[in-house]
Amino acid sequence: MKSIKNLFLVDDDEIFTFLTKRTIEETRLVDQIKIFSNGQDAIEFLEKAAGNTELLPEVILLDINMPILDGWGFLEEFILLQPTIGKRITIYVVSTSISPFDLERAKSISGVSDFIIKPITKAGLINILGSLAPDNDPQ
Amino acid sequence: MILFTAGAGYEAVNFRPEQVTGKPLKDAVSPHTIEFLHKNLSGILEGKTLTHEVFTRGRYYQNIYRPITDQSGKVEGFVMVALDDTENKKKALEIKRHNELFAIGEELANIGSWDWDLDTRNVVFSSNTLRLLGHDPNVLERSSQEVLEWVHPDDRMMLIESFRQMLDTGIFEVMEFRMIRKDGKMRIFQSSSTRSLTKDDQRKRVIGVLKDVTEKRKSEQDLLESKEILRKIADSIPGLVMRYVESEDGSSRIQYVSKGAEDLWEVTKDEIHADVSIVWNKVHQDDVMGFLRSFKKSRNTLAPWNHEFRIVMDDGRVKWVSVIGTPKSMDEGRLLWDILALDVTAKKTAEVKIERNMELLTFQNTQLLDFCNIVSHNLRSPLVNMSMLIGFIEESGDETERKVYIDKLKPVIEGLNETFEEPVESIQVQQDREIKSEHIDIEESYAKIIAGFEGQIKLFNANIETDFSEAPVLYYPPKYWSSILHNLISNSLKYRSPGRRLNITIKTARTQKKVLLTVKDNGLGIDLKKHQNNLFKIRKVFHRHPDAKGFGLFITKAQVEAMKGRIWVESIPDVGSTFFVEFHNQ
Repeated sequence: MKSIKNLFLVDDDEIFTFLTKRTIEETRLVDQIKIFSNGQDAIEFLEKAAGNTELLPEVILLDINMPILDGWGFLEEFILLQPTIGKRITIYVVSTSISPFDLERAKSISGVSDFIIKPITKAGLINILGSLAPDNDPQ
Repeated sequence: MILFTAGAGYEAVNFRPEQVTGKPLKDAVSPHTIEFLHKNLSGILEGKTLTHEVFTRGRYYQNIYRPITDQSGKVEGFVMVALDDTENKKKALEIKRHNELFAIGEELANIGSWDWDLDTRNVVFSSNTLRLLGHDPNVLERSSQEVLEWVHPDDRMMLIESFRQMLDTGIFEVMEFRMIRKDGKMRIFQSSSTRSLTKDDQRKRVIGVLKDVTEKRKSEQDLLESKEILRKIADSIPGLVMRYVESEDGSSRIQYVSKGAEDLWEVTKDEIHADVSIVWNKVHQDDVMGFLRSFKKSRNTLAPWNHEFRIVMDDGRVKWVSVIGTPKSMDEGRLLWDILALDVTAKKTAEVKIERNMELLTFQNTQLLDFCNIVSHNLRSPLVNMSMLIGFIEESGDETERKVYIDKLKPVIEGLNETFEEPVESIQVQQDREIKSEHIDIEESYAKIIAGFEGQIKLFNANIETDFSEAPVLYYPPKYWSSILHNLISNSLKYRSPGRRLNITIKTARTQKKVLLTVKDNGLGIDLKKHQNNLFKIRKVFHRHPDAKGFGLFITKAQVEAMKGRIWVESIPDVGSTFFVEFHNQ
């Protein structure tokens, strides 16, 4: 039983994305996983896919520390983009940071559902993705 | 009935004899006279002669009533003679009034008078004199001997000697001596006297006045003492206390300067008295402008003058001085200045120290936050990856799969190693605050640096122009300078535009005590709207360039700021970037 069609992983750390993709696949809760290595690539994709619910993700796992456009930059642009997207997207900030400043900052942004400190475990993923079950979601 | 009137009575009573003769007495005399006669007529009729003073119609009269007897001796009437006594009466009253006035005057002025008869050797005092001396004011005449005993024993000889001299020479002077009152209290008296030769009896007399000056002398003494106290206080203040008058033409006259001025300014009071400018001439060269500005402002507005400045001693030592002054406007455009200057060197030194410590703390706090960031992101990332990889290795049963995970561990460890080296290097810059500056020949050092880029310059066909003519020498730690210039050139080469030939212009310029380095290129540029805040931070990368690590500008900034310099950038995406580095204290 797969509940999530699309999940975006936005992170420049290749090893992390490789391993996390694996873990998500093992949960069998997600159909498709797309990986972006920085915020700019992800935003550009979302801009193009606006209104196309098939291409748009239900969930984004977002890293903070990335080149070109970091997680904070992505969130700023995402908030501007949100009204034109036409789909509810849940964003989790996933970071190695244990800095309380980063945690505070993430919490202050309304579009962020939660702040997850890496590493992300299989059990943790099931917990997060399970809460986004289709029974609760009209889509 | 009046039978007869005669004599000067006409003028005296202002009526004619024929008007009253044969009329009743009451028509001719005043009601006072009638009243007197009512009371005393029987006495007159018994043969007594009576007199009576009457004041009527503005004049004094002496009325004499003498009985008239017939041959048998029987009284048959009386004669009334009215004498006009007005002039005598007036004189007597005037003398009385004068004496009263004199007595009142003596009392009010706290003075007494005396009259010394050199023949009888007695002194006649006014009653106020005796009151001042505390003796019975009714016994006016006293012997010389008694009076001398009232004088303070220590002053007696002086007094006798003075009088002898004055009588000999005929020159009378004002004397001051102490007297003991009857109640034992000591008072100070001032005596002025003069010899008088009365015409009446030709006796020799000395007359004079005594004045009690005890209170006056006491307040003068108090004033002198309080002046002395003020001077002592002013002198004991460890600083300069000065009062001086400044005339409109700029000249000045010192009224007072304290002893403390000698210690603080290291000049003598005499030198200051001779020329006040010795005080202001010691103001530190760099503080003169501010000093004059604040002083003139206070002079113009008459507001209190409050200023801190440095003074330089003859041997070059510098002291910090805090001055408070109040200007007061006087006549003819003159100004009275009261000035207090204190040595605040110790306080100032402490302030500078605190300021420096604050600066250091702020700097270190920023570094700490940066370091927290490095630990959070750059050091934890590889650790997370390693722990995840280990987890996968443990769970995997497949040997080939395990091999894949193990292979991935290696670059993670290498990355970790690299991440460690960077913060260590930057911390070294921050700790290396004592690094020595040297005079660097910019042209020479540039040649060495550019030699390292020779291969890349040829490969990209880059064009580099330099102009170090305006500022050919830099005073800076050579290690930092090389690193800064190396990084900026390296950035220009790295982020060149693929669409055009790379041009780099490197210049130095001088402004006062600063040298400005500019490195301008026509490369990719940076979107400053997006990246302004992160530009000089560690691990911030803005280009899709495989060599971008986000460390060069971070370390460059550290090397600039460690020497109190400034670095900033102007850039337009896809047009180019210009980096500016300002080196201070040149």
